[in-house]
Amino acid sequence: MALSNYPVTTLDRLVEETGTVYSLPLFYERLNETINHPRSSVDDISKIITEDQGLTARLLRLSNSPMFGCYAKVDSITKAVTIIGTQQLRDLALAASIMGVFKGIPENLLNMTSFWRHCVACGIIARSLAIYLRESNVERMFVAGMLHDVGQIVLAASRPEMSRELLETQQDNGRFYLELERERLGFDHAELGGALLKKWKIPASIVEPVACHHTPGAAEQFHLETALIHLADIMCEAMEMGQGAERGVPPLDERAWERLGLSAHVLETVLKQSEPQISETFSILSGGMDV
Amino acid sequence: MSDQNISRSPEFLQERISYLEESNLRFISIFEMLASSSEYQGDLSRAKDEEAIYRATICQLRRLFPFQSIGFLSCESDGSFELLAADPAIAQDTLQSLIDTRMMDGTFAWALNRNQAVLVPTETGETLILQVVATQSRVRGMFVATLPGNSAALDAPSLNALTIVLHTCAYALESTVLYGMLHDHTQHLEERVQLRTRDLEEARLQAEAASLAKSDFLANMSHEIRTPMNGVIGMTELMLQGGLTPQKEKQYLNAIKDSADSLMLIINDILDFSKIEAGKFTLENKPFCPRDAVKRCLGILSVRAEEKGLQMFHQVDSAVPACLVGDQGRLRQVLTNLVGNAIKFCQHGNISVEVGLKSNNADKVVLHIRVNDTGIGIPEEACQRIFNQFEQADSSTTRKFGGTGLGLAICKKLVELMDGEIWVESQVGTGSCFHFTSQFLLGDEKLLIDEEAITDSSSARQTPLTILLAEDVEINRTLVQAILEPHGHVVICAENGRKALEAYTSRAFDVVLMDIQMPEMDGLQASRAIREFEREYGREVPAPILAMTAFAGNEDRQVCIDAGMNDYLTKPIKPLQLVQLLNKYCAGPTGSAVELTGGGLATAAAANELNGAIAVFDQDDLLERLGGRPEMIPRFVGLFCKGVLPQLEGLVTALAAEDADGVRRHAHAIKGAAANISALRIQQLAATMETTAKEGDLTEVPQRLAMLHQEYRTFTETISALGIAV
Repeated sequence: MALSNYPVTTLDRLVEETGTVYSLPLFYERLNETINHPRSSVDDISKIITEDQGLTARLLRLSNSPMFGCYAKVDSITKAVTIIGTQQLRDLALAASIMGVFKGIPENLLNMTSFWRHCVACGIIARSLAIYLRESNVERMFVAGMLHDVGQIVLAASRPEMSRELLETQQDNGRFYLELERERLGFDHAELGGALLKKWKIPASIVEPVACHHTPGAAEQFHLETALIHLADIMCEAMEMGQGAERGVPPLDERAWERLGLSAHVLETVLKQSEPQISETFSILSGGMDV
Repeated sequence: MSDQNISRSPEFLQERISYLEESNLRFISIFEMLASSSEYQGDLSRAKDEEAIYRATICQLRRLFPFQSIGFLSCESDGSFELLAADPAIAQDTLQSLIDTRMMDGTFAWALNRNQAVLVPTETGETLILQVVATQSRVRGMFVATLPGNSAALDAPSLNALTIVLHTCAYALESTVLYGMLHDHTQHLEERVQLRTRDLEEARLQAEAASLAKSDFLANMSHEIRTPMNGVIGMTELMLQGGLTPQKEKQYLNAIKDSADSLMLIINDILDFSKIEAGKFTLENKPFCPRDAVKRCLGILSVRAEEKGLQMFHQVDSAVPACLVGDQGRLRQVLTNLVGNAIKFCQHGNISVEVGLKSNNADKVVLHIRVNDTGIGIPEEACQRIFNQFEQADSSTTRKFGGTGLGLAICKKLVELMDGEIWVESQVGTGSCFHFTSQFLLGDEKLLIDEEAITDSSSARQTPLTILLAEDVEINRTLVQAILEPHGHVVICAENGRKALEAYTSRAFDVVLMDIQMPEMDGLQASRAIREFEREYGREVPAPILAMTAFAGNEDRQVCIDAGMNDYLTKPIKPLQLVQLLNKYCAGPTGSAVELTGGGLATAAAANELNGAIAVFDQDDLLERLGGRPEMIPRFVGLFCKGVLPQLEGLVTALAAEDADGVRRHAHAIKGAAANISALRIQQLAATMETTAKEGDLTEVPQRLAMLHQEYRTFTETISALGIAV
């Protein structure tokens, strides 16, 4: 068997290996501590962000983009903090820097532009659905969408041959990529991504939706968030908004759909609202970035 | 890592420790707040309205943040927001102005859509917090608060805790609203059920009461009918056994007549009532004199009152017009009923009747009539009920006083037909006062005379007539024969319409009396056939056909006239009516039954013969008309004397003024009055005077007037000679 020639691939091992290559942006942990600190002020928070000029520019552009449709011009991070909120800005900052973290993936394996377009679309749609459901802290849905397929990058970066074989098999047999992952690896990219984010100490409300976005029934704590990412991912696949490794449209989990309590006609409205935000957001996040 | 060195510095470690301690304290306070949420939940569940929920939420949130001021805006149904709960209350205006500013610059709208805390620095160096209070389905309100310091960044755990509390608040609001709606609905439903139950219960009680009243009524009625019926049957059996003395026979016959009369009253009541109930009752519209109507009506009743030792007075207000147009029969029926009741329920004391004018405008005259008695009275609770059908004040009343319990119900219906009202004021043991009003049209006094002409000619004599009587019931044939044959009329009987037609075609008749309901050919068919026969064979003078039927309504009258009949008699046949009608239709060629009677005497020359040929006063004749009750003679004669004197004076005045019509009118009145009491000479003299005056001839009037005065004196002398005290 061809695969037996490769080093034994386990979830933990891959996470361990990846951890040395890719790490969470430095500001994230500091920002997290600051916003949780009872004594910190808006100034403290904005100081951390403004240290990264690229991030600052992206955040300000995002704050003024159709994604927020803010009533007033957000011309400073201080203002962004007060208007958008501390936790929300933290989540937004993570989403805005994640594309910079996973760089240098061989283009012949994954088209990164198409990959990130898919992730932005998933994040925006998940966020729009959350707004429709009057959820609070909707920015975490945006991050979760942005991060939901990082497992695919992890595999492509650390096991490019395995990744290529899976992609080719998928093309030859017309099967689901994630099924092939499970057959060959014993886990799928969702679990892999979730494991990495957990190692990065990303909040569980983001980790679980990523880890379970193909198996929403397996979610233990954040059923709603998981169901949102599950649905948003399928919508992106169906509408062909960008593309990751997956070529087909995975089946919708009926219980996840019921959990959301949405009616089908809402999806069209949400898609219509999301489309301009997706292209604008993608252009902001990919701007000046080598992807 | 370069950070490693810094992290080991004592300052950094100290900072780390204090950060962790502070965070720890923060977390503990959040947990305590959340742990105390059972109290909060308790407050929410007790909250009756929005404001109470907001107050409880404010209390809970104060455990979380050191808010300076805190408040909630409620989202109204029109989309506006109203600051409901401000804490402290003094902060109300400050908060309101802060909110107004944020509404203007769009922050408020932004916060509505964010579903998380939005922090804005204020101009006075504080931080304003806005967070929407919303459930998944709708926005319920807005949380507003201020914190000291203009750059406050609230820590994320606290903000999350705030979100949790506001979510709880939003759902509590929704529950309260829904519960309120449910409560209102339930209450409304309960009220409706109660109302409905009450209505049904009332309806049931009414139905039961009505059913009970009807049963009582039937029981009373059968008693009322059986008693006279037993009398009739019993007496009849006794008489059929025979061997009775004429005195005994007469006594029994009188008893039978009394029983039959009272049966007739009951049956009339029932028939009247059912006719009214069926809506088939129509009122006559004829001129009448209200004073006369009341006087006559009470005149008949006064006999009964006197028998019982009761005094009876009546008074008619001078404002009551002399002539009204309406149904005097019905007016008298109501009055008779009320006065009859008064007599029935009065053991001593007096009864007074007052006729007043309630209103008189645009030709519409409303009379207000009061009947006062000193009787047993009526309990208050019964005052309404007694006008209901089948009811008396006390069902035991029937046994004590008799009656069907229909009388007042009929009165009520009749009064309503006359656009009036009927009511009673009463005190138990003291007496009752029945009131009723009824509406008439104002009439022309001149119309009254013609009416009287018909009534007053009743007692005039007639030439013998040949009468065809079509009647299937033997007893009725016998009755009519008994009435007519003593007057010298020849009565030919036919048992049905066909036989009547055969008879009519075989010989000439002066008049036909036609029953309506008969076997083989009914009265209507027979009348039509008779008229057809007359047309074909050219009978010169069609015989008057007079219908006799028990169906007494104006419509029925019309049906008879349409069939070719001339007039109408109501069964049972009353002798007076029958004679009146024959007079009306079978008068001689001069046009008046009276003149027909006095035919050969209608000249001045013949006047002297009167003295010898005609009696001054025919007492037997009067007695017969009074139903054989000699005790009534003085009263009638008295009335005559009282009435004729003003007429004599009127004659003098009219003669002096050479007023032929006035002479005719007074002569007519004297003639009628004289006929009534069988003062035959006065009657004839007055009749002659009337005839000549009608032709405009007054030449012989002075002479006749003198004779009339003479005759009147002779009459009074004759009366006192007979021992009649006037």
